[in-house]
Amino acid sequence: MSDIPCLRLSNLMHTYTANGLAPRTVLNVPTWQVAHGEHLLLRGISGSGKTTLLNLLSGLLTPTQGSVEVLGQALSKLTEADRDRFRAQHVGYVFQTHNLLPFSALENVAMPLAFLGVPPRHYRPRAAESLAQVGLAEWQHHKPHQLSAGQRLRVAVARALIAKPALLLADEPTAALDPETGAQVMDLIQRVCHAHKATLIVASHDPALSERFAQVAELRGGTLQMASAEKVGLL
Amino acid sequence: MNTFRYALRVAASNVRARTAQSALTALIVGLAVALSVAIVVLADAAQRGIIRAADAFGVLVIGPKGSAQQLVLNTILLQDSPIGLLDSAVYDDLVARQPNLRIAPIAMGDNINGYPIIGTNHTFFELRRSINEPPAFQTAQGRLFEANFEAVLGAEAAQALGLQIGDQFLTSHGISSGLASDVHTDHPYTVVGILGRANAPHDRGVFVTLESVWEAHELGAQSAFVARPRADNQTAVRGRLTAALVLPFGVALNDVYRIAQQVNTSPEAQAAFPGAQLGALFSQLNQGQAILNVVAGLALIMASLTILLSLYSTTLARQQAIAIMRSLGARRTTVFTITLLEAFWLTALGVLIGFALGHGVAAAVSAALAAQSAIPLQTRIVWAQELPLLIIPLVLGIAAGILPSALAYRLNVVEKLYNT
Repeated sequence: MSDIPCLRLSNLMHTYTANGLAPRTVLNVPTWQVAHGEHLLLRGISGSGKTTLLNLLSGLLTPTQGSVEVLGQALSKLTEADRDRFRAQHVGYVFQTHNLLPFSALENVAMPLAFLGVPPRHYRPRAAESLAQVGLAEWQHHKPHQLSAGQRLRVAVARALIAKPALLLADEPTAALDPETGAQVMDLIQRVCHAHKATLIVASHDPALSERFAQVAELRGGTLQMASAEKVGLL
Repeated sequence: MNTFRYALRVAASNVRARTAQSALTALIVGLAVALSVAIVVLADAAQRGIIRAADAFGVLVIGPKGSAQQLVLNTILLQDSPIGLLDSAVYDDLVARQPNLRIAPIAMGDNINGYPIIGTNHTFFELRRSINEPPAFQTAQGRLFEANFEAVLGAEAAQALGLQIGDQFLTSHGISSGLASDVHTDHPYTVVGILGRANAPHDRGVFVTLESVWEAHELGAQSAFVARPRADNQTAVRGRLTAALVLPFGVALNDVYRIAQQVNTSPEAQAAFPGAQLGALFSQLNQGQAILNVVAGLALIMASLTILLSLYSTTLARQQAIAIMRSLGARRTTVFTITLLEAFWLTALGVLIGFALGHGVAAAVSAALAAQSAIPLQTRIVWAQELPLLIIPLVLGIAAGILPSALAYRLNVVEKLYNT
């Protein structure tokens, strides 16, 4: 891998402006970078800006100030269409609510490739392979409402990984799961990310996840503090 | 290209996912399209049917003064009432002046169960659709009438009345079945022949001699009726007629115009060209059709608004799904296209329903009208007129999809992504 980190934030500031209210700065990160292949836990209480940060890293949000570079590419310098394409190619995103559409598991998983213009004869086997990787080979044709919460999360993981992204973002992946299923899914995410050599950033306030990560970043008052798990008293 | 094909599939899946709503929207479009298609198909069937029904009936219809159109409609299509009575002197005069002219006299005024009694002579059975075709009305059973109160039944009349050769029947006065007191009880007719089907209104006719009609009305004695058989089987008649048909054989077109001019100068008779009168009738029908087309057009606009409302509410309800697609890499143009294609699918489905329904309704109405009038109404696909009726709703439907598509295009992804 080159010297370019997977992620680099510079002078990042993001402010929300609600109607009639004073602007509220939710993120202020002078500098931060994450190397390729790292697995990092992003901690913080609800409303601390974890999801906002993930959205900025994925290019779904454009920062009010500063820059977000993913794989050396400053996202703000891309057009919106190019940013959409970049996200589909390089960034996988597992949403807290899974965000599956009312199609079959296979179709859900294939979607990022389909939006990249990959023809069905290529994206279908890859989607099937991706589902097999998360243990859902037999569930390809099931729709989200026919799957358990754990299975839905696995589909979301398979979808996030189908384009073999360099960066996988997961927002509270275990929030809706019982501890045992949560642990299984986290095992899966980390295993697959290791296999893909993907950088993993998991945003969670679940203390049980801390022991899984050597790198922990804490969002507090909009600022990011890096610490090992031991230093923040998580282990 | 692959993205567009995928957008087509996603749009189709979205339409399928809302089965009831999609079906209802498509049905509304379908009904509007069906209305337009049925109007066009029926008008075409009626026009062809009337032309087909009329084309055996010579070049000129002579009758009493009055509405030329009513004269043609009554004589050729057996619609409406006779406009009055024509003195047979007019007919005799024509026959005397033009010995080569083939003229079939017609006297109507009675019926059996609504099937018209048509007094005529054998010249009527020389009518043909073209010089090279056999006569349009030929006996399938029995023979033509030879004596008074012998009757030859049209195919439809024979079937509906259930009469066979040798059966006897009574007629009633008037052109439709009426009171029992109107029955001519003294003059029973005997069936001597049944015609083959000619696919013309006269399939409903019951053909008898002119003298039978007059005698049934006790005119035979009053008019001192004398029948003088002629070598060519054309009979000189005295009495009153409702019309006379000039056959287009043995006479030049110029002579026909001259005859028409000559008849029209008479104070009591008129000569009408069926083609011109039917042309005027079609023109009136076209005006009616134009009004119906406006109604159909309004229905299409309402259907398009239904698509707009349906898609708009669906897009509003599906903003999160659109945001999810955007988060997975779908461009703004892709979600715009998907929503627009949903409008296309809904309209295309409606157009297909409308096309089938329109033809179904037109076929059913044609069958009912044909049974009633014996005018052969056969529907067909009229591509030249129907194609715009299929394309215009598609364009309107897609246009109706633009606003919801713009809504999808302008969507704030992050805001809607977490708007559970």
